[in-house]
Amino acid sequence: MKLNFSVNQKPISLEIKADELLVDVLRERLGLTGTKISCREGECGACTVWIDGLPVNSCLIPAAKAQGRSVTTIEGLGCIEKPHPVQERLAKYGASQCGYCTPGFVMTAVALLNENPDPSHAEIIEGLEGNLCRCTGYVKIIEAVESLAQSSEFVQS
Amino acid sequence: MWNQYFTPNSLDEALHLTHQYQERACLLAGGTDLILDFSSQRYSPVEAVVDISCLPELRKIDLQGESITIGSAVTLSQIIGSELLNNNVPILVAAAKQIGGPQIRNVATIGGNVVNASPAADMIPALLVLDSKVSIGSLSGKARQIPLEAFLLGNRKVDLSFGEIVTEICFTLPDSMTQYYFHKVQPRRAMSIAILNLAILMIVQDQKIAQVKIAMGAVAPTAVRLKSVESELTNIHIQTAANPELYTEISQDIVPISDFRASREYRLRVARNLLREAIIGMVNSIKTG
Repeated sequence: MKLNFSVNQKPISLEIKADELLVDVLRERLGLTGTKISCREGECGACTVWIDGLPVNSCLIPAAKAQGRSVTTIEGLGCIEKPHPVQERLAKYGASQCGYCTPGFVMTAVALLNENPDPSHAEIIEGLEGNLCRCTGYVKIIEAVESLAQSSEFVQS
Repeated sequence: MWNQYFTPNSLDEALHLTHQYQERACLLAGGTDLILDFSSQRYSPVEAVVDISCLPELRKIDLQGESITIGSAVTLSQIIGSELLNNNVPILVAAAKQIGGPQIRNVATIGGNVVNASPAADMIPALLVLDSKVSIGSLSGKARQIPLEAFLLGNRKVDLSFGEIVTEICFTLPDSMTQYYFHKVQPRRAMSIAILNLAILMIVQDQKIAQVKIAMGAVAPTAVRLKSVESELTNIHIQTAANPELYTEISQDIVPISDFRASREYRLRVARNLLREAIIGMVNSIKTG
């Protein structure tokens, strides 16, 4: 089937199998490997992307669901030359150990701050509950996000 | 998993598709359970998937008179964000918050949680204490509405035929004096499947429990109403609610199993203790409040 959607604000049109999952289309067909695969069952959040601005687990989303919609991946938020403020903050706080979960955390954290620019500690924990870090570096991740909640540096994206 | 993916634009179009394909098609809303069932091969491949998640008819939360109607494709995030539900039936918001994380709640639907009919589904006990009804549409027969309790036939079995679509879940708005309780026993605070979950609706009048409805999940093939305990507790003075004997009848209502999440004995003990603690907490908050 033909899939027409936008990825990181670029219109994309490509032929896919009707039962391909979004994560595989992004990684295998579009080469956007910043979106990670870990559990493939919606438990870990490593594959988090946005559809129309809402974070979802791309391992549980048929790519066909993205028809006509707008998908944002980690590549759409920042890059090494120009990191997103959340990425900068995670680096500054040492909130990344093996780094595998980091893109997913960034996607969820930016969506959380877009929706609520000044979340409380509890709201940050609740907002990030769908992302697992198996290095268990949660404290620094939460501190990094919390530092943005208290500052005015965060710019909506 | 499937060869064709349909995204109908109206309920009528969706009904035509599911009528046409019958057992060769599968309805999909959020897909957070269904995709796993296909990928783990619990479900055999089908010819077509009909995605009903964007049908405007199924996405509404409405209050009409004394009745609240929730479209089957309303997401758990929509429930959590609904002012109407937060103000009137906070138990549904509490239950929705216990499911998955934000990424799951942004797509998972109330209809999906009900139709998937996991014994551990978190929305179902909350909907059972509200005496919810399930509305079902089809092209061949008349639209029908049945109590949720009757809709749940067993472990992941519901009273739904090929060609039918669950369109709405509705219930009568409870009295404004109603108190609610929802608790999920789980190994981790998020992203867990319930070892057991408990929903309670209670009205206290003149120091007596005038009405109490209790539902528990993950203790039987479907979530169940604890009718034996409900009748023990109804009309008692709130001072006597702590009496442990009131809760022994719970073994009439539940038949927990041992699995990798917990043993039968653990579930029985937690069920009895948690229920008693919850009821005591609810009547105490009335006494002091």
